[in-house]
Amino acid sequence: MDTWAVDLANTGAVYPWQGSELIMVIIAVALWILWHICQLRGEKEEFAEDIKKYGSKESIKKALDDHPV
Amino acid sequence: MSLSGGLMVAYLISKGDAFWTYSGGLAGIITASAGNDLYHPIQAFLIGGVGIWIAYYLHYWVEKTFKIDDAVGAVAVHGYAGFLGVVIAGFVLWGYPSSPYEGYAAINPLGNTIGAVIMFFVLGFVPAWVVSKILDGAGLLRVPREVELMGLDFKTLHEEEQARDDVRAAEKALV
Repeated sequence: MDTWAVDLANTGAVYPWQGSELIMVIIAVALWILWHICQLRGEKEEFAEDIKKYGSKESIKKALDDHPV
Repeated sequence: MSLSGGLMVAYLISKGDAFWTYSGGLAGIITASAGNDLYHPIQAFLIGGVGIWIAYYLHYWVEKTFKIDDAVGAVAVHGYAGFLGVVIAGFVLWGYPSSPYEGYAAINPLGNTIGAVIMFFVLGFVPAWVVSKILDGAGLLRVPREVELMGLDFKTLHEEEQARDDVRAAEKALV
């Protein structure tokens, strides 16, 4: 775009980097998948650490006693 | 899309911290807002993510370096992300017309950076600093040190605890 003095009825897309939509979609999908890999990996590590630290029967029983239903 | 970008990046860099994840969504929107009328949705997504990524680390850098507390992250979310949003728009929208009328410069990084300084420093920081100095001079900026240390809700919590003890004592007297 080099001017806004246009008839919008005759104007198509106005976003920058037109023509690179496919690349942007590929980048976005790749980041979206990567995010899920990182998220699941991080969550798995966190839960494994929780179980290692507090997963004994005594700890769980104590937690149930501390927070009665 | 900018909300998504902000949420996703904030979740990763804060290791799933709920406060920063939700703040990150807001920071994403704020970062993209300077050019959101022109960005492609995926550009808004990426810019939103970049904004909170920088704002998050800037927040802790300022806190550690200058010992300035930003307890709710408002300066990071609105200030840093907002400032970055204007600067980023200067690069991404470089060459776009800034006005429908003749005689106005096209959008460019230098112009947007100067605009961001005017908006955030001259119109934001300076008036707030002057007002804060006036409040400080009048002794209205901070609560007394003892109250600050014990917490503003100390009296309320103390009274609640006292009331609970009274109820407990009254109930025991009925047994």
